[in-house]
Amino acid sequence: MEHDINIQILLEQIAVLDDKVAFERLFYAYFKKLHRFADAIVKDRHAAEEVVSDVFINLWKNRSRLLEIENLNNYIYIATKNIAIRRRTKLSAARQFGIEEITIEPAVLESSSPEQIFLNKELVRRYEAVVDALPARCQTIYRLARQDGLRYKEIAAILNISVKTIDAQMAIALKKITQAVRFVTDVK
Amino acid sequence: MSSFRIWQLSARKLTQDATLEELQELEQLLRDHPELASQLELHGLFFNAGQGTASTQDPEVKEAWRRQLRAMREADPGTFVNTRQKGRRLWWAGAVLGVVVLTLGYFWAQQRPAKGKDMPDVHDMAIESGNTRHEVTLPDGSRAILNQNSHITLSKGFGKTNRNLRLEGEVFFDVVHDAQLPFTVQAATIQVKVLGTAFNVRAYEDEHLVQTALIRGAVEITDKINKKLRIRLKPNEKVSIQINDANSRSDPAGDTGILFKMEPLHKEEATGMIPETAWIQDKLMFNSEPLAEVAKKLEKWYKVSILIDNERLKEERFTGVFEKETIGEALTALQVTYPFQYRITGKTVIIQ
Repeated sequence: MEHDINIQILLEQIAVLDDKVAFERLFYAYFKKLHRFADAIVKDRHAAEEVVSDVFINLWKNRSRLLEIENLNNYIYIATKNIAIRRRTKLSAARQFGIEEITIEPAVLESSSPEQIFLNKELVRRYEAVVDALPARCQTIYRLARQDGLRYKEIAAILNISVKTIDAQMAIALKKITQAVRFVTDVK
Repeated sequence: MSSFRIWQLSARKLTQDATLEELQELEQLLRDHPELASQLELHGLFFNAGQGTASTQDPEVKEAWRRQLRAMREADPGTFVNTRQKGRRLWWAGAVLGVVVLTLGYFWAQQRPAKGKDMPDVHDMAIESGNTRHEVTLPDGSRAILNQNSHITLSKGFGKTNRNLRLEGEVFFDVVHDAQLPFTVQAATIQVKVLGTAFNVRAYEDEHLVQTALIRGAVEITDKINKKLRIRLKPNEKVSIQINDANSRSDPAGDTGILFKMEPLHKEEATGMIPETAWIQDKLMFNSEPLAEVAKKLEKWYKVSILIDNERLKEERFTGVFEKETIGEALTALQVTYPFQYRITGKTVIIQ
């Protein structure tokens, strides 16, 4: 994927050249996604931004070792998750945190993407409604795949569950969503 | 009616987790369910619209970045001093170069240094290729593949105190990352500084041109004479810089120029093969060529004869790179682009 190559070159520029512009671009590339992910855990937009901010401060501090990271998605999402969970347990009473408590908000999209030409707003709303109705874990996995562009392996590593589970949950999500939207369009 | 397998494969397809075989299997399964296929297509549109592009114009992220800068300076004053202005301009230049693709303009330079001025001292080590391709591992562990009639000269202390070398001819480098010792290549007056990377430099003297193609990583190109020239290549970009002897020292005002041209590398999608570096491996490669031409190449490569029994198919264009594949595997791969039937009988292949 072209995207990965671009991220890799940003990492090299940051690690080798202390390139601040590259760092800024990395921030732009990840901010919204990580913010949404952190928000899904801490359930507070402001606290979520602080979480992401901490992730990037650490990233810059450890920049000389960035090239040792094998998969930035894994690294940066897990870092976000860990900081977010720590923040959350500090806010509420300390207790175990389960992934079913993660609830990711739908992405707010610019209307410029080529796909949107084919999708009218009403249809998107229907799809989103079905996604919202999915069981929590299934919904989280589907949204990470769709809105964050993550691969099965990455989602598995980030949520600390098996790739098999991701595979099964994604199939379930696809079936439910496709069938539900078909039903709605048929009725109309 | 539809099995779980269809959902499973469709989901894998969306996240690009499906293998080639799985995609073919899915296509086969969906042939019996055209209605479902179109529903899945619609779902695919919705799915793929899920990722907004990261825009530097997004005011919300812009604000967040501003707060981020403040937080970083508070967390560690002095480490993130704002020197953005210059880099910013360079970045924009890079972006424009990458997009526009065509000849961009002139950078004024004065001259090329007198020959011999930069000749290596006697302790330097030279590697020559002669009439064949020659592959060497340099003292620092980096790999260099020299094309015919090329040579590189390593500076004294290469791999220990420096990683500087001079080059004439064409060489592909795969450089071991070492932040302490930058890897630099000097070709004519052009210097390529490397940041852990694979790249190709072509600088045959009679061509009066230094071409640098970047495969991965980052390189920075400067000119010894013209300090203003500074190009940072991104992967899959190539820059050709003209080296003109006639420019020599005649005009200190800088009216004679170095012409440089940026262009993208045309990568063959599936394999990432690039014509600029195809010489490194003997590979069979064709890029959007009609099947009639492709068949000729396949015939030589696999030492078979190929009959195309379909006039329209002859015009159909294919792209591919093959190395170790059997003829059967190659044809199967080509079927993905355009579904055709083939039969192999002995040394003859019939395509329909």
